[in-house]
Amino acid sequence: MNPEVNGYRSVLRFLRRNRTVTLGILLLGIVLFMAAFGGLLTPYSYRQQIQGSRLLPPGVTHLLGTDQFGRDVLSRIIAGARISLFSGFLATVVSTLPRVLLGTLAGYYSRLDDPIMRLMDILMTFPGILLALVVVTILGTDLHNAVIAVGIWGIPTFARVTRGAVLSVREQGYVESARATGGNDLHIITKHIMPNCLAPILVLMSMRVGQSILSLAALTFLGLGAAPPTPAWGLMLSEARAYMREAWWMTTFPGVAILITVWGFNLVGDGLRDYLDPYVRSN
Amino acid sequence: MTRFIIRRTLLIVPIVIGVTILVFLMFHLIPGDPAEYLMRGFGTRDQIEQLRESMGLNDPLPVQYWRFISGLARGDLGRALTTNRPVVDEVRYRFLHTIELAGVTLVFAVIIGVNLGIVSATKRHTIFDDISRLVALAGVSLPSFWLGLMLMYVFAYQLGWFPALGRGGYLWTLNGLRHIFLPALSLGAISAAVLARLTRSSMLDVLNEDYIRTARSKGLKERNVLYKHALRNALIPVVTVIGMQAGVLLGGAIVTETIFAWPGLGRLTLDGILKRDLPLIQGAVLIFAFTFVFLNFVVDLIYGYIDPRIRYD
Repeated sequence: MNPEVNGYRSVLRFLRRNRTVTLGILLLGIVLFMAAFGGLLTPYSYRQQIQGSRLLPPGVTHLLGTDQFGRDVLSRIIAGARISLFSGFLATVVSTLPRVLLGTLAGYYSRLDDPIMRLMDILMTFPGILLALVVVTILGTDLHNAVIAVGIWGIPTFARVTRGAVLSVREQGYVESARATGGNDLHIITKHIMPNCLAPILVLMSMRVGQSILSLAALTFLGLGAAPPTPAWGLMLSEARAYMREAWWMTTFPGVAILITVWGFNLVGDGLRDYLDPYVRSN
Repeated sequence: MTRFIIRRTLLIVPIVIGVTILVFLMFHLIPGDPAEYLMRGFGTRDQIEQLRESMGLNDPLPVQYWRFISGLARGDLGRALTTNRPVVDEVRYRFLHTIELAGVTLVFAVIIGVNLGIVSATKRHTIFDDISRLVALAGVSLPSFWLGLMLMYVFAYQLGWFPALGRGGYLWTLNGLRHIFLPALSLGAISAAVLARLTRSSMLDVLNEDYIRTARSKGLKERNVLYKHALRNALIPVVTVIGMQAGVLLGGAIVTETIFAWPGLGRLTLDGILKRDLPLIQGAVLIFAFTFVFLNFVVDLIYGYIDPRIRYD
C-alpha cells in the first residue's frame, strides 16, 4: 500500500480538511477525561448531601447548581461519565459478538443465509426500544439488564452489515486460492475473511457506542435501568422532572452531557467512515 | 406489478407467524405468571396451582400457543390483569392516539428534513452546508426525551405558548393542535435530521449523473433540473428510510408519550411493564409488531412502484 495514504501525515491532512472530526475528537476527549479522572476533579462527592444547599442555582460554589437533596450537579455529571461510557461500550460488545458470528455464518455459508436473515427480519419488525422493553421485562430492571437489552437491540441491523461485508470478501481471489491450497473453513474465516471485514465493523461499533449510550439513557429515564442514587445521566433527568419549574439546571445539564458524548461518537464515527473510504477521502 | 404484490403479500405470512411465536415464547420466559400475579399476597401454593390449572397455564406449550393464536384470530387477547378489562379494548383507543402522534410527526419530519437536505446539497461546501451537517449530526445525537423536557420548559412553562401535558381536543381543533405541537416537535426532530442527511447525500449522488448534465446543457432552468430531474431519483432511498422512520417514531412514541402524558399505546405498554401486567404487555407488543410488519410491507410496495428494477429480483 501507498505509505502516503496510510501514514501519519495523511491523518493530519484528513483532520485539517474535516474539522467536524476534530470537534468530535475534542468532545470525546473531554468525556474520556471526566470518566478517567472524575474523582480527582470533583470538589464534592456525587452522593454528598450538603445541608442547607437544596436546589441552589448555578453559581460560584456549585457551578451547575445542586439538586433536591443538595448534591452538586456537576460532580454527579462527572461521576456519571464513567457509567455512561462503560455501559455504552459493554452494550456495544454484547451486540457485536453475536452479530459478527451470525453475519459471518450467513455470509459465508449460503445454506444458512436465508434462515438467519429471516430470523433477523422478524427481530427487526420490533422497534428497538420495544425489544429492549421486553428484554428488561423478562430479566428485571437494573443497569446490567438494561445493558443486555440495549445490546440485543443492536443485533439485527448489524448482522446485515457484517453479512454484506463477508459476502463481498468471500468472492475475492485470495479466498479462492486459500481454499484451493486446502485451507479449511475455520482457517479461511479467521485468517482471510475476518481481517478484511474489520473496517466496516469498527466504523459501526464507534457509531453504535453513541447510540447505545442514548438508548441506555432513554431506558434509565423510563425507570428501567439504574436505580437511585446512581448518578446515571438518564436517571438524573427523570428525577429532575419533578423539579423542572423551579430548577431548570437539573433538567438541562445532564442532557447536555449526553448530547456531547453521543455527538462526539457520531462525529468521530462519521470521520472514520470517510477516512476508511478511499473514494470519499480523495474527494 | 401484480406478481410483485402477490409475492410480497405471501412473504408476510411466515413473518407474522414468526412474530406471534416470538411474542408468545418471550412471555413464557418471564418469571412469574398471571396466576401468581392475581393471587399475590393471599392464596396458598395449592390455590395458585389450582388457578394455574384452570387458566390453562399447565398445558403443554403448543396447546397454549394454539389457544393464543385462535384467540388472536377472533380478536381476543385475554384480559388485562390490572383492570380486568379485555386487552383489545384497552389497546384500541390508545393505539389510535399513538398513530395520530406518529403520523403528524412523520409529516412534519419529512417536510423539514427533505427540504433541509435539498438546500444543503445544492449549497455544498458553503457555511450553510457545514452548519446543517453539524446540526443534523447533533440532531441524531440528541436524546429525544431531553429535547422534550427542554421544549416543555421553554414553550410551556416559561413562555406559556403551548400546554405541557395531555392530548386536548380532536386533532382538527385548535386545542388539539396546540397539544400535539410539542410532542410532535420533540419526537420528530431526530427523524428530520436523519432524513436531511440522507436526502443530502442522495441528492449529491444524483447530481453527478449524466442525465443531470444533459438536462442542464439543454438549458433547463436550475429549478426544474433540481426538482423534476434530480429530486425524483434522489427520493428512492429516502422513501425507504421514511418507512423505517415511521417505525422508529412508533417506538420513540413510548418515551415521548410518557413525558407529555399523551394517552397512547406506548405509555400503556410502559405502565403494563412497571405493573407486570403480562397479557396487556403481550397485546401491546403484538400490536406494535404487526404495525411494524405492515409498514415494512407498504414501504416494499412503494419501493417496487418507484423503482421498477426491484420488482424483478
